[in-house]
Amino acid sequence: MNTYIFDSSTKKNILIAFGIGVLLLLIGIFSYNSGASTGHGDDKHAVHASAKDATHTTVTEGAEHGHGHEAPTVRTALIANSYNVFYYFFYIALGAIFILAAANVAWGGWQIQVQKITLAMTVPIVVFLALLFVMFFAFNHDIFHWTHESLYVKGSDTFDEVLNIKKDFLNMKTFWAFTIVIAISCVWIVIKFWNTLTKMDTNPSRKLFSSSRVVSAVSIVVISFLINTFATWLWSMSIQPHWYSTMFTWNTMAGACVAALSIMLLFMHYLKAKGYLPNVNENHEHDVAKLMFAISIFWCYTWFAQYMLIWYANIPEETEYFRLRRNLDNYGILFHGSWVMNFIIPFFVLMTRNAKRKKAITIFCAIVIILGQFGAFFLMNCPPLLPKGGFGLISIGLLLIFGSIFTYITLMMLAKVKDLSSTTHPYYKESYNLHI
Amino acid sequence: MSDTKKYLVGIFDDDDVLLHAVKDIRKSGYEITDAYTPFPVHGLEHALGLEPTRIHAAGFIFGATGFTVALSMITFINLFNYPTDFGGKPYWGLLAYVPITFEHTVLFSAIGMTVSFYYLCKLWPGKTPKIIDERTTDHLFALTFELDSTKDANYVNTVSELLKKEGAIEVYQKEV
Repeated sequence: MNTYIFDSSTKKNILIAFGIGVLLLLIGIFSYNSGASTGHGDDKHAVHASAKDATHTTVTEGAEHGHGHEAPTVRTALIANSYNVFYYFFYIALGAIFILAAANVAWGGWQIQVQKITLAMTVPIVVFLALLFVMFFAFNHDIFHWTHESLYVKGSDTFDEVLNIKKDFLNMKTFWAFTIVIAISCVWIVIKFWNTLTKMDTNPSRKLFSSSRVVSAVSIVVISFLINTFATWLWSMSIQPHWYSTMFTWNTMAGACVAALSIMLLFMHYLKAKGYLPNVNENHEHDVAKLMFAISIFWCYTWFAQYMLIWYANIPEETEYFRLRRNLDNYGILFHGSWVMNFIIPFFVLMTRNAKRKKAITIFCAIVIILGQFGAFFLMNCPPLLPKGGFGLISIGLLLIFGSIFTYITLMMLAKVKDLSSTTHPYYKESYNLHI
Repeated sequence: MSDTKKYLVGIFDDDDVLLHAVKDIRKSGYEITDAYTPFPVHGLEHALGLEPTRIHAAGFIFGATGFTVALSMITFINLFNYPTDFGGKPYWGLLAYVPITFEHTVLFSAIGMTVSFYYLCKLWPGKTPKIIDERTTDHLFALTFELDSTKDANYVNTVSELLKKEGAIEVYQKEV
């Protein structure tokens, strides 16, 4: 039982999750107009106008809100939510690469038996990058306010002085240059990791082992200085282009890593339940849960530091970000709820040693963290596009749809791995004897 | 030190041998008082059947004390003792207190745990430590069996033989 077989019952379950997602999405789309988010009287005119001239109305109110838009239609809600989901799963796969690289570069012996799960989780990055590219091509004016040419025409009504200063960095050429470099480096890292670690199964050698460490070291540098930094700046922070924060990048990566670890823990429990990974026991689960606990605290640290500094300085340019997110008439519940789900629950539930070793408790925390981080990512990307609130069935439905696609690709790649628990890896024995 | 105790000491020169000896001796039903090693031996506390340490509970209590002290102190100063208006912020601006409260929690629990650890190990200043065998601080391992009034010569003989059989390089009695 050292090669995973992607059986039909699992495929059926993934299909059911996909179907529920589609159903929720359809319900969300059809019930969208009756929702609270479009119940404002003065929005009707804007909706009407946008239907007539969908491409140009977006800029007319630009000066007022920084990211002024027409009242969100189903189209906007769909674009914002799908973009957020693609970005979320892209980041989870990136977090998986980071965990794999960090564990390998630090001689992490404990995770050798489960590292094939992390390896398989890195592969969906290709699909989600492609989906993000589709969004960038087709809907860049809907997502990114700064892409409108009229903002940079001096003397016109829509001229935006702040964005004009930022234009040296925030323009389409820079955007595409960095986007393409990010995509190429992501794919390169994934291919390198996959080739090195799967070749080690059939044909282990010292050279492969050292090259796996070289790939890890290089990918950590590339992720931290290139992929993560510019992906958050250009793909997420620039949705609200007047605002910036130096904590944002850290916060995104911490959230992605903790979500990736949670998903990895769920895969671990799934494979254990199917009878694979016979030598993975509660010691390995304890280590994963420890990392979940620790990175949850780190996530909250960056989240709070970003919030408190902006609250304390009270500069309008910066507080705009939280004005859109914190108030109860837009995203207040989600804002505080995601903090509770990402910090309070994991912190207090996973605090003791016994809790980290119990299957039910860690699974509960993992699910809470995955949903909580989804909420946190939603709050990063969507409020400028849906300023009156819009987290609902569409978001959950898309999460389920693309979550099942993510799961399907991961398990499909896992089935291609010959040696599921990496028995030929030089540190296998350390992982086998792990006792904490 | 007036209250000396008498111990039967078995000296080992290998940690694996020691670990096996501990398991076998406990299986035969003899109570080991303590083990002395020059470095942490993995799994030894498990083999000795020691209770899990309660120092975390002490750490939590110290941390909670630090949390309370910091929060009540800032509240007292900013609300009653010396209220100051900082840029129109509320006097009780809880968000700004979080870092200080956090740091006090960490400080109190760290210092409190260190002090209680020293207290539990009887390592306060001016204390002459009781050392069973000085070589256990360098390269040898020791197992001790306390010899109180209930332990007769028969006990000493059986345990000594058991220790030798398990690979002890030296067995002797010592009063410290």
